[in-house]
Amino acid sequence: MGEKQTLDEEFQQFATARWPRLLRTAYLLTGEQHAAEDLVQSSLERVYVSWRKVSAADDPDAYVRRVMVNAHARKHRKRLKEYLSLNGDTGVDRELPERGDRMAQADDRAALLRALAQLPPRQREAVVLRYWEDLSEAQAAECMGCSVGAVKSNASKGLAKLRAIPVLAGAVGSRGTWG
Amino acid sequence: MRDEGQSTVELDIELRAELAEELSADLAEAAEGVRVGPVPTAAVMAGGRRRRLRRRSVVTALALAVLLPAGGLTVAVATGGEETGSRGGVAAQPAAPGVFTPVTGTVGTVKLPNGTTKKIEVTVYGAPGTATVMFKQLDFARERGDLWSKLPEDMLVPAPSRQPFAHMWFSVAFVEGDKREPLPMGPISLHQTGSLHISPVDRTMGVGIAPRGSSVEVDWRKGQKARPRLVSVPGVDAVKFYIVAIPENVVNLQPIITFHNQEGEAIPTIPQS
Repeated sequence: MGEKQTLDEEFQQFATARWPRLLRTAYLLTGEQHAAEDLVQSSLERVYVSWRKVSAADDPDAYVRRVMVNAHARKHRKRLKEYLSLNGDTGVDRELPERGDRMAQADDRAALLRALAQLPPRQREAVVLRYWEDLSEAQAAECMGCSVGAVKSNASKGLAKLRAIPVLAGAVGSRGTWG
Repeated sequence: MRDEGQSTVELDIELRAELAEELSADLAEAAEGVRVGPVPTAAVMAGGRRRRLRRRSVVTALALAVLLPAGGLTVAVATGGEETGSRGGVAAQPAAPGVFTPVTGTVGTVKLPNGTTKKIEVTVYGAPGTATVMFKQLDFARERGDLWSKLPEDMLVPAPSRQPFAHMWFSVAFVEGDKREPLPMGPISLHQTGSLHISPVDRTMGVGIAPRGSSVEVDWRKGQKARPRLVSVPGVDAVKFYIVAIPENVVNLQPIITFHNQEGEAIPTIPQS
């Protein structure tokens, strides 16, 4: 088997294994199904271009996250604002089965996604990386290409803003405490 | 006082930890809202290869035909318009454009009055088939840098009468070194043969599609005639693009561009858009 074929197979295995997790992170960053798929796909395309180096690195996942966060910062900032201002929601409700509890769950998810979308991109990235990806402040700083202090500040501000958004407080207040 | 302050800090840390835990749980629940479909590894790898090719792309031939002898602006059309990548000497068979797997080719170079030379790239997309897919495809093209990101909606979506879902379409970009700049033009259907699409902002050049089997002639009405070279891109060999440089004093090129069939007869064309 040639080296190229081996690398391709390694990449396929990597992409297949990481796709669900990356897609969920992208979904929290973008707030929309198709945008999330596109973000992950374009990020993995970039990773594939440099796969020989990436696969030899200590932490390929960190590299992929960084590529994705950078791509999000570049491309999705303006688009998401336009999308939300045009549609007034994230489209999540329409894509989920309209049955019993799932409706309420979808409402809560949509409220959180809308609230996330209202955060400035850097704060959204800090919140998602710290509290969804469960990265340390240092790891999040490396991923975002900024200082640890900036991550602390962005995450703290993001958290405070999420708590202050009325629709989110209503959505999580019924079952949670952090609102 | 110090004890009270210390207690407040501890309480704050405790509260923050609790909030973080709650938020993590809520984010996890929200993230479950995404539908995880099949992993498009083939599309990802194809996209990666295209990015790699674009990085390595070189113009295979230059300065074959000077179209405007005295206009101060010249267009030299490259021979094949194909991009080449280092493939160990084995030429890859170009694939036909798909809905989300467009093909890109260099169709010429333009030398601007300020002395800079830019490559002209054409990217061809497959017919989307439905409106839903078309909108997703247009988003994809904008994010990929094939369409101008600031394009207004009315320029982005072709008029319904043109049946935009039914046809392959193309976009045009200038490339200078590593910088790729989509021209402020909307998507152009491949079925619009004969028309000429001029970059609306700088009006430096126009790109058109010659009717099948025809040749193109530009009559500058001062005894000067030119025949732009017809160029195709990989995977869409049947479509012949041509490029025309636009002099500053010319508003509408349509009357001075004619197409001829193999017998030399003029071929009627659809209006310029």
